[in-house]
Amino acid sequence: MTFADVRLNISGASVSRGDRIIVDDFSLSVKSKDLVWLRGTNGVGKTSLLRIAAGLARPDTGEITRTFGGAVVTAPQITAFQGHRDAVKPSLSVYENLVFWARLSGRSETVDRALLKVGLTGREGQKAGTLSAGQIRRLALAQLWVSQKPLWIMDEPAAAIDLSGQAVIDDLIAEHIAGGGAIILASHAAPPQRAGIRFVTLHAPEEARL
Amino acid sequence: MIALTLRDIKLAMRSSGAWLHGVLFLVVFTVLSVIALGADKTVLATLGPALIWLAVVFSLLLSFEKGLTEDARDGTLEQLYLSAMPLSALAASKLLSQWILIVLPLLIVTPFIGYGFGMELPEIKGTLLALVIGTPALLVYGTFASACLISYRSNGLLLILLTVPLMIPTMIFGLDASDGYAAGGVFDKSFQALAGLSLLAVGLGIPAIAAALKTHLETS
Amino acid sequence: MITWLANPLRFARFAKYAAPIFAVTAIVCIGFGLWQGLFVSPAEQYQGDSVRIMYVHVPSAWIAMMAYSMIAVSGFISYVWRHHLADYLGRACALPGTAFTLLALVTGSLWGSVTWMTYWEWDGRMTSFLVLLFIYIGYMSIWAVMEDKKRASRIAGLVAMVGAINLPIIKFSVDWWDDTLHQKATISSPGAPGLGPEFLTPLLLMTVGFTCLFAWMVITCVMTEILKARKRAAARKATDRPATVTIETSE
Repeated sequence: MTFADVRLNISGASVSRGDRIIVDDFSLSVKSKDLVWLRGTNGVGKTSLLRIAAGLARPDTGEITRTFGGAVVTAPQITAFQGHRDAVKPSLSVYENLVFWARLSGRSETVDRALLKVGLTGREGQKAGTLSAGQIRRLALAQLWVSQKPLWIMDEPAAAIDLSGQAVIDDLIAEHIAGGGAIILASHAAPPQRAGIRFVTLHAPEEARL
Repeated sequence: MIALTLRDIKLAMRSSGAWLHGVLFLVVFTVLSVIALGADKTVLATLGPALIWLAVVFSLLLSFEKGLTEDARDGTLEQLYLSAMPLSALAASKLLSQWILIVLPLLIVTPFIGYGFGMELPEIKGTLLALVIGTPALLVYGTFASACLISYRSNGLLLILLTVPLMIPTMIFGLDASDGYAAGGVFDKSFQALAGLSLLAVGLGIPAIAAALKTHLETS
Repeated sequence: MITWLANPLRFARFAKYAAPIFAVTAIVCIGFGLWQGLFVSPAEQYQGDSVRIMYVHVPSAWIAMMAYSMIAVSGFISYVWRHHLADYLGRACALPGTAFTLLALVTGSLWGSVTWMTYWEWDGRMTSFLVLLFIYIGYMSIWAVMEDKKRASRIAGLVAMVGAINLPIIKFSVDWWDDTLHQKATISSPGAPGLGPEFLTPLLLMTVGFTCLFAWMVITCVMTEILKARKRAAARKATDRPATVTIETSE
C-alpha cells in the first residue's frame, strides 16, 4: 500500500481542560513518512492533542490544515484513529467486527490480511467478548489497518499488549511509514531503534519550582 | 448507512432479548390499566386509543437511551465519524434501526391490545395507522434528547423532561387521528397534521441529532 | 446594536448606565401602575375587582414568552458564533423567565378561581404555559448537570433552538386539543377585546415596568458573569502553566 503525499499542519493550537489551559501555542507539521512520537506524563495533554490532530476535537485557538496529494481535505478523509476505546462489539465475532469497518472504507478483501498481520488468524469466528484485553487491542489495530487511511493517530497502542504484540505494532508502523503514510502516536513504551523518529515531549509545569 | 442499520439489528438480536423490553412494558402497562379502570369493556373501548398511545409513549421514553449511548461509550461513534460517514447519515441510520427495533414490535402488539380493550376494528385500524405515522416524530425527539445527554450518565429523568414537551403535539394529533379515522379515514385533517408533523420532525431532527453528536465528539 | 454590544467591555460600559435607568424606570412604572391598577381604575362590569389581577398576569405572561425568545436567539448566536456573551445572556434570561412563567400561572389560577370558579382549568393557554415551564426547567437543567461548560453551551443552544421551533407547534396543537378533543364547559376567556383606556393605562404601565425589571435583572446577571469570567481569567494567568514542548529527532 503506498499513499500520495499527506500533510497535517497544526499551528498555534491551544488546548484547555475545564478552565485551565494545558497546552498553549502548539505547532506541529507532519508529512508522509513522518513518525511523530508524543511523550509526557499523564494529564499533560497528549490525548487532547491527538484528538485535535485526528479532527475529533477543536483547539480553542489555532489553525489546522490537511492536504492529501496536494488537495485540501477534511480529517475523516485521511485519518484513522486508535484510542483508549476500541470500538469492538463483544457480541460480534472477530470477523464480523473487522469486516464492518473494512466495508465502510469499501475494502472487505483486506480483512484476512489484517488478521494475519496482527496474529488473530484462526480466531475469525470467536466472539470478541471472549478475547483477552491484549487480543482486543490487536483487533483494534487490525481495524486501524483496514481503514487504509494515510494518517494514523495512535493513543497508547501498546497498552495491554505482550512482547510479540509489541513486535506487531513495530512492524505495522514500519510498513505504514515505508508506504508513504504518516503516524502520530503517544506511548510510554520504549521506541524502536530507528532513525528519523521525531520525539515531541510535553513537559508538565513542575510544581516544585514554584 | 444500511450496513450500520443491519449491524445494529444484528447486535440487538444477540442481546438476549433486550429489544423486547419495550413490548413487555407495553403489556404490563395494559394489564395494570385494566386492573385500575375495571374490566368493563365499554369503558376500556372508549379509553382504548388514549391508553395505547400512553403505553407506547412511556415504553419509548424507557427505550431511547439505549440507541446511542452504547456506541458513544465504546468508541464506535468516533470511528464512524472518521470513516467519513456524514453524521446526518449516521443519525438517519440510527433512527431507522431504532424504529425497527423499538417501535415495530410495539406496533405489532397494539392490535391485540386494542382487541383486548374491546375496541371496534375501525378504531384499532385508526390507532395503528396514527401510530405508524406519528412514531417517527416521537423517535426523533427522544433520539435528539439522548444525543444531547450522551455524555451525562444518569440521564433518565432529564431525558424525559426534554422529550415530553416536544411529544405533546404528536400525541394530540395522533389521538385525534386515531379517533378521526372511523369518520374521515386517512384523509382526515388530523392525519394530515400528524404526517406533516412527522415529516418536519424527521427533516429538522436529523441535522439536530447530528449537531448534538458532533458536540459530543468535540468535547469528550 | 447587537454586534456593538457583543464586546464584553462595551457591554460593561452600556450596563453601567442602562442598569440604573432600567431599575428606576421599573420602580416608577410598577409603583405608578399598581396605584393606577388598584385604586384609580374602576372594577370591571362583569368580573368586578378580580380584573385587577390582569395587571400582573398579562405582563408576566408577556415577559415569560419574550424571555424564551431571547434564550432561543442567544442560543442560536452562541451555537453559530460560539460567543460567550450569548451564553451569559441565555442563562441570565432563564431564571427570571421561569419565575415570570410561574407568576403568570399562579395569577392565572387565582384569576380563574374567581371568574371560572376553579383554580385550575385545562384550557389551551394554561396548558401551553405549563409546557413552557417544563421547557424552561429542561434548559436550566442542562446548564446545571453538565460540568463541561463548553459542552453545556453547545447543547443548551441546540435545545433552545429546537424548543423555539416547537413552541409555536405546541401552542397550535394545544389550542386544537382545547377545541376538539377536550370538551370543556364554554367559558369566555378573560381579557376580552375592547378594553377601555381606564384599564389600558395601568396595563401599559405595568407592562413597561415588568419589561424594565426583567431587563435590569438580565443585565445584572450578565455583568456578574462577565466579572466572574474576568476574575477566573486573571487567576488563570497567575497559576496556569501550560506544558512546555521540546522536539528532537532520533539519529
